Amino acid sequence: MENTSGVMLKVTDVCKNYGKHEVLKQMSFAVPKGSIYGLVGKNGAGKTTIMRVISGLQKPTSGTVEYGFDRSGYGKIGALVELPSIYSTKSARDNLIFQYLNLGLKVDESVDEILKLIGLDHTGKKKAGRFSLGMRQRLGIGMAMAGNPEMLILDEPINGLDPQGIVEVRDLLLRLNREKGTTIIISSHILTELSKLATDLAFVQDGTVVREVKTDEVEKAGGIHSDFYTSDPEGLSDLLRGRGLEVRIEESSGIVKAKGGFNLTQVVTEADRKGINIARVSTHETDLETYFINLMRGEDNG
Amino acid sequence: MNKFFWVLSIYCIVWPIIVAAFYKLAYTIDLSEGISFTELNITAEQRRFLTWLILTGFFSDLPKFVALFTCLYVGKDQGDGFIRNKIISGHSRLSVFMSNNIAQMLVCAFWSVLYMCSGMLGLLITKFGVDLNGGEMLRRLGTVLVALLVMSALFTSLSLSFRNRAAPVVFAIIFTIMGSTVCTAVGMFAMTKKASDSYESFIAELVDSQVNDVAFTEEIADQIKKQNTSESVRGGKVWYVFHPVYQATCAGIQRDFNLINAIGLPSSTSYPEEYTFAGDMEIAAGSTGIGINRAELAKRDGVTTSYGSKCLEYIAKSVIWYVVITGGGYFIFRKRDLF
Repeated sequence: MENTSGVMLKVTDVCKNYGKHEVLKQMSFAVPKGSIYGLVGKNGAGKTTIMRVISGLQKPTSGTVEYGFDRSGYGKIGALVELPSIYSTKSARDNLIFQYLNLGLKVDESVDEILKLIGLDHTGKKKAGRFSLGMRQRLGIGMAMAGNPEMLILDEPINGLDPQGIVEVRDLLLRLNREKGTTIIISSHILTELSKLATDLAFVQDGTVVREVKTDEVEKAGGIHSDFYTSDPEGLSDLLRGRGLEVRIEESSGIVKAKGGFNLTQVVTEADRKGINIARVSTHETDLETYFINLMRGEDNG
Repeated sequence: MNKFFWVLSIYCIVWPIIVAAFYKLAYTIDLSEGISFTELNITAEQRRFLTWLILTGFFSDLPKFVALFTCLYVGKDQGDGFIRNKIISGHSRLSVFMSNNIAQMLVCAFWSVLYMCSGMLGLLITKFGVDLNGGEMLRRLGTVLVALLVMSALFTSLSLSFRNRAAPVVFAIIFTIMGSTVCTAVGMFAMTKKASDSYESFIAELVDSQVNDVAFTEEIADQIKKQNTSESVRGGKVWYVFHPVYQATCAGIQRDFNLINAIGLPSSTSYPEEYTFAGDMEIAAGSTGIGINRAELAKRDGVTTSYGSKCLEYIAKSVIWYVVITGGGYFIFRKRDLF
């Protein structure tokens, strides 16, 4: 149970089988304290299963899950795995009160604080069954937040939300993380959203984490990338460097790979003036999505 | 589910009163010249029997409702994710399992007690009066209630063992429907070997004395003895299959405690003071043309026991089955993946 400082959760070689079907294959990763840790992967990669294992709903077939806090007692972990667990015949406030009672907590003004934080303070006696999907998700997150948990586990919390709802949930989670220091583990297949939220990312493929990165590393790797097909790679490299671009020459093909924005007309004119022939230029932008797709294909993102 | 709970609570209040009213009608209606009603005139024994009949109606009436309520309630809690919520919140699986188990048993006990209280009210309203046999009946009622609570624990274990919400409901309903038939079948093999051996020797002594008195020839005596062996009176070879089931389970409770569906017209109208096989043996002997002294036979070894020891036997079996059912259910629930 004890953990090294700075790590909120350590998953080591976790395997999970459903009969003969191996869903998690020696999955390992570590979640830094105070981070928003995003799990990225295709459907069926094992994201939800590992979330269930972490939250105690399922037992791993083998491997260990260590928490950076004392797991005994109630309300140390808050989770929203798949659908929110709410009483559809009760109001948002009543649902929160039930959760407080479930956690053995005294019902006090913090119930209203959570309601305000999740933006459901105005719903009054309206039954949760009549809430929109976004409101239900927010209530689910609110219930997970009850008792100020050390760690929040959110599986696809923005699934099915409209753009407004997505922004609301994102802002809520960022506020929680910044104001209360809550560590959040979140999975989503909406990668652009995850990149706006997560501080750390783990890429999950076929039941295992293939790479863990800081989000700013992805950002660093991202941006505009251009491939120049030229007869004079050295000369063109110097020209591009002179314009402030990061440049490298691919040894096998002689293609000049540049990262950064530039004015194509100016570059071609200057190259022409220097007698450098540019046969073709291909430009593409790398964002988290491209990073993810490249990674899944086994291609380098550097 | 709250509505379902209250509807069943109302049923437990209203139904025993209706049953008591039905019996009042049956005891007082006179159809000899049109429809007229006579004065209610019942003996103390009839009053005691009616008290038992109406109060134990919960055992035959409630299982199907308890099965439905438990499976739907626990199933809804699972479906809505509240059991998941509790596990995530840090409650142990044992506490989640046992809290459901105890809560459902309390609901079952509440309905049963409500049913019994309402039955007593019905008996008072209809002027039958209540006779609890000096309080002794409460011990038997308690034993029957304990057996029903084990059934409730079984339904909870079923509900928490399945991921599918419909399966436990189907299993529980099948169990309650078939349970009554199984209980009737198993109850027929309640007789112990000691009791049937006593019967065989009792018949042998009786027949031999008749031979000595020259009432029978030895050939007829041998024939009667062959027809009234220990094995034949306890049910033949099938006894070896069903009696162990009877001994190991509470399936014989219907027969042993005379638990007749309250709305059915009872064939027997007595509240037995002692638990005895003498009545069954008298019928068996009668079918072979032998008249026996039932009171004498009842004194033989193993033929009669007290209801006190029978209650203890059933409570012990109920406790053992509760431990087995709850332990097994928890074992499955502990290992189960929650989705």
